[in-house]
Amino acid sequence: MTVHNLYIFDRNGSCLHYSEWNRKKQAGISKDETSRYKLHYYETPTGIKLVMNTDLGVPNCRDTLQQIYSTLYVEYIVKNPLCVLGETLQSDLFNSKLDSFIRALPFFSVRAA
Amino acid sequence: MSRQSNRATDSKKMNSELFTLTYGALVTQLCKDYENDEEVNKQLDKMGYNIGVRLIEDFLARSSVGRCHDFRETADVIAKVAFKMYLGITPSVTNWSPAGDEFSLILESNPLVDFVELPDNHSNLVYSNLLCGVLRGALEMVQMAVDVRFAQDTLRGDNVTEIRMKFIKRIEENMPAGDE
Amino acid sequence: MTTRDVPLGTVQIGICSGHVNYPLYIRSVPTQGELKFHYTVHTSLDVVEEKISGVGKALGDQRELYLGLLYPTEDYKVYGYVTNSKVKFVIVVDSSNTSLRDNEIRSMFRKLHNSFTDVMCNPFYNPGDPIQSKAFDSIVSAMMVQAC
Repeated sequence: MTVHNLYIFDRNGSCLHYSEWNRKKQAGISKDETSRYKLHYYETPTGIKLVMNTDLGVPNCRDTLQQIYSTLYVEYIVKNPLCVLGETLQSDLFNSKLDSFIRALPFFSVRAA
Repeated sequence: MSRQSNRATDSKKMNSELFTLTYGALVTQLCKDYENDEEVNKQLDKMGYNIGVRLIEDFLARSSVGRCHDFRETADVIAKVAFKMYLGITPSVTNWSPAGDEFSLILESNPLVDFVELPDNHSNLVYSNLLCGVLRGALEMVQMAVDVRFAQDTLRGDNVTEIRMKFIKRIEENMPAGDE
Repeated sequence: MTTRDVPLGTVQIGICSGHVNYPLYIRSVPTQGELKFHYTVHTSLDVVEEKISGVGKALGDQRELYLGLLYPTEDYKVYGYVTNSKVKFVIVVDSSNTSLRDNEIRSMFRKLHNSFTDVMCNPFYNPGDPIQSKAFDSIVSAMMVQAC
């Protein structure tokens, strides 16, 4: 089980953030493999959209995405007055917190098999 | 998977005098920077708007409130959840217009105006106008255009403080064409 | 106001600011002969200064804000109170007024101090300006009516 990547879009549909994990074999990913992923989607009433792609073994991630929104996006982006809303996220703090959050997920592990 | 419910309960405490004095210093500085009260009101509204568009995200993250079904529900959430969460007061919702698109929030006490006495030369100043901006900004982010203004204010000698809110329209989400 | 004409009821309250001893607020009941009281308040400030410097040395920072009876004259009793920010409160009453004991005076000062703090917290009040607050006025009036 693993997490592939995460997108954050704003209400207008522009991408604020993209990061990926465990895609080292990027060049080698065949069509065969890319079709076998699960897309998790969470949208807030304000139109912030979080999209996370994982492999098929990962259970429902709504709570995880909501947590990313409430404990990371709101805390480190919205509450940082220097971060202009609606622009690509450039906060290193947010990036590192997000990275460690994802890595700490129970279903995050480099494919052993 | 850890639940995030414990986070919703941790409301950070802040000394109310510090809060009130901070807001007071802000308003009086604006009064010095801008000579006329109308301009100060406008600036307060603008600042409030900028707070509102961010605060709504915090509000949604902290409360488990989802999308409202109608304006009455919105009114209730504003009064019972939002005001309680951020100002520690629960205004009452009254004076609905027959069409149900306009209502009043009656604040029995307003934490922003403790200690404040408006001098005579600021008769047009809407001291707490920031609140209007916050409400307008927050609701705009959840696709509601509203008109917010103070109808009564204890600072001007009224018995209660009344914020009047009028629903204008739903803002359609504008996804750029061709986006997948 | 009839109560103001009661001969017992001469009460004056003065507040002076920090280091310059500039009066922030003076109010007297009855209003006639007010000037004389202004004079009383100003002279009492010297006594206040003396008391603070004397007490300050003896007890360090642990100082009682209420200074007690500053000095009695034939006609009046003058009481003083100083905040740690060196704002001075002075109350002058008729010496024939026996209803006001030390405790009452002390609580009057405390009340004055509290409402003075509220005035200071009004963002439109600039420290050092004469106090023109209506809320403060009404509290002082109530206090004076009660004292008379």
